[in-house]
Amino acid sequence: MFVAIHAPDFAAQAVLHSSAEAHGLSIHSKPVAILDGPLSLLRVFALNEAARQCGISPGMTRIQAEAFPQVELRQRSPELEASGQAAMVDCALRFSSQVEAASPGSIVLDAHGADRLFGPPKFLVATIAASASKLGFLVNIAIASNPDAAFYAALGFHGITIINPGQEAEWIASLFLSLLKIPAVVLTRLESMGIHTFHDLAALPSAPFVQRFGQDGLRLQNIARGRSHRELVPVTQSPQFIETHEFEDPIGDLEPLLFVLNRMLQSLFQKLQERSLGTNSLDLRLQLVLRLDRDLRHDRVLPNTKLFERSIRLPLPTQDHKTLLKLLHLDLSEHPPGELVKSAWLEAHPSALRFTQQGLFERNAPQPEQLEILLARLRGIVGENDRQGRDRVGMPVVLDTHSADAFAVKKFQPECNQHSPVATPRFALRIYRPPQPAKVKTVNGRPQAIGFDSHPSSTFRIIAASGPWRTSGGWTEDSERWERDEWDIAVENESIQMLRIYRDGGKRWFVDGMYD
Amino acid sequence: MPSTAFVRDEINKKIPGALGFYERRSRETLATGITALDSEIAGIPRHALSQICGPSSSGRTTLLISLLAQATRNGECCALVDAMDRFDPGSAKASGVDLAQLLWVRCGGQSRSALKIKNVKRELIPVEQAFAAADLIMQSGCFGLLAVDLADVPSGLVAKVPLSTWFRFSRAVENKPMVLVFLLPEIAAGSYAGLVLRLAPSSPVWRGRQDLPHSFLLRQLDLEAVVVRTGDRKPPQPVQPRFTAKSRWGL
Repeated sequence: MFVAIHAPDFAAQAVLHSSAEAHGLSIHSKPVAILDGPLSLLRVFALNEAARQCGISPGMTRIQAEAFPQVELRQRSPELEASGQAAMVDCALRFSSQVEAASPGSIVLDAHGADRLFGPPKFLVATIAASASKLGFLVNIAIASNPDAAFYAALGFHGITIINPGQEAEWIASLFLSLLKIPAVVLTRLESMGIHTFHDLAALPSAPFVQRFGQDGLRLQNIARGRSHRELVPVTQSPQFIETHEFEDPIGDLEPLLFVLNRMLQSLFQKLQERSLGTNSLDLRLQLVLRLDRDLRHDRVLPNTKLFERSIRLPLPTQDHKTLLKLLHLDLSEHPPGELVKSAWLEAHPSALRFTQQGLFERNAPQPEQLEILLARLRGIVGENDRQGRDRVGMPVVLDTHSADAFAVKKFQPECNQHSPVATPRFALRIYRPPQPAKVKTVNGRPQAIGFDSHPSSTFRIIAASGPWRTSGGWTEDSERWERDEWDIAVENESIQMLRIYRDGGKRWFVDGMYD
Repeated sequence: MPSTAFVRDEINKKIPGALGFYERRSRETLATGITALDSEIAGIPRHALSQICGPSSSGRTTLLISLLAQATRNGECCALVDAMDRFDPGSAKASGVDLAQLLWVRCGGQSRSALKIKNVKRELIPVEQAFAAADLIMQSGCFGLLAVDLADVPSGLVAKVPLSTWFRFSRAVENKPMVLVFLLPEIAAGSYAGLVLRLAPSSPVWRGRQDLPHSFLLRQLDLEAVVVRTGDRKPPQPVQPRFTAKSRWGL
């Protein structure tokens, strides 16, 4: 058995499908007409039933269509149509692994053996119809013993059509030949011969018909007789997890944008879950509309749109869309687009899920998803980088160099090191970043008193000093060369303060830190 | 006339737990790694707010790093909220801290959230950031040790932290198996702290002759902690464990 699914007025439905995903509402009752063609001569290309009832018809110019204010006019979007087609293929793949994308808005699937899972044909088609409706599509569904009979029945009959084996010719006899995918010349020729329906074509004697129209004629006649036998051409391209949305009016606030992104993420993750996949990488691309006042100020022609791109990376793949939504929220709060958003494009890069079994006696470690959100929130509080470009939130790493305060901050991904050595307590240094300039009085090269630039009126006696300990580096490049003479000193203040000071190559003194 | 049981049931319905008993948790601790201190206070308590106070060079950071080394050696994830960006990863690594398990939050940066903090003096912003970051980390509940380093914040600013903030932190940590430690210049949280350690000014120990260059070395710091308050009791005669911390030359 083969099942065909057809979404009539697909171009209009694709737009509505996108809006339905974005708003979570059923908006099929909304009259919509799709315009296509050169900008100077836009014409109505497709429309839904509600628009048709308003009086609008295909081929009308934009000005004629604008005479119907209740009808929403939208420009044709190949991206939305591709997204809609992909959604339909995904829907069909839930029921069969053999799915053919017969034409835009039409899918044929091989349903052999599906009765074991879904029961008799009427239950199967009802389930498919419910799934398509959930996606935001109103579809015609037909089930037949061969793919062409099912396909043309779905094209020609409204709602659900169940054709029992052997009754194909009877069912499709009343369909018009215009449904067949044949050249207009052939169709005109047939109609001039008084052949208008499948029944008329099926009734013709085969031999003379084939003599006139060749093998194509035989194929068409077999279709009309409901006896066509062919193999499906299954969808082979690897699935792409991309969602797009075009806003009717550009939006500037973050909240409505997140509302739409939430719907897009839900849809993406539904597709991922159907394939038992997750994602650890998400790319967001927003098309922004530049404000006109900026063009005027610069007094030159600027492109009126620009792209704004952000990426979210996770250490492990996840199937939880809420985590990524929260991360997007935090990221866009820190890096707002700054302009009005015209359209959004979201792509998830799929990867296999990783399952780990935790030991009973292992200590709790932060869950990767929770940890990512926590880190993003912390970055929102304390900032992302310091003046040297090092992260403000993360895991410290000591660099293999003798230069002072040499460290990096890497992304925090806790790993238990079972072999960390037991070390004797050593007194710690508290580093001043940046080092504090100081004035040091020396006698025979040894520091005797110190004054701080922050308190120029006070000078403190140095009661003990140990040093100097010279370090240097960057010898190969003059610009990177450094050297310093370090001293450990005890300063008499209210209590004894232990400081590490140093003199650089330019003979300037700095306080590096305090022992504590 | 309603019975006592009826009245009790009615109250329990309206105010759950009002007539119940508050069970104090059994005391769980994390060893500091300093024998003299652990033998006296048995470590820093979990489920409680602890404070390590003292003047400059009194060994507060040394004690904290020793604690971090113990926690990471146990396989626990630790977080350090560094209000003034004073932490030295090199010192920590030399003292045995597994840096791979340490989340370091360096306050004082510019962010959009920080810009939203209005009517706050500029010098208070790192303190505000430190408390906000600590709050988030504590709520996540996935760290075994959370240390908030306010040691170099002026005492006057720490005194401005309202008692309600300390109260909130002490209540929030009660239900989490976490060690929450604040490094402060002065005691601040009052009775909300489960443990207060005040470190006395240190005594440096030098070796060698001052007149001979490179032979006069700072060997160690002799440190002394005063246990001002523990979760169990307020000692009438504070105990004063003494310990030493070696310098880079003293090993």
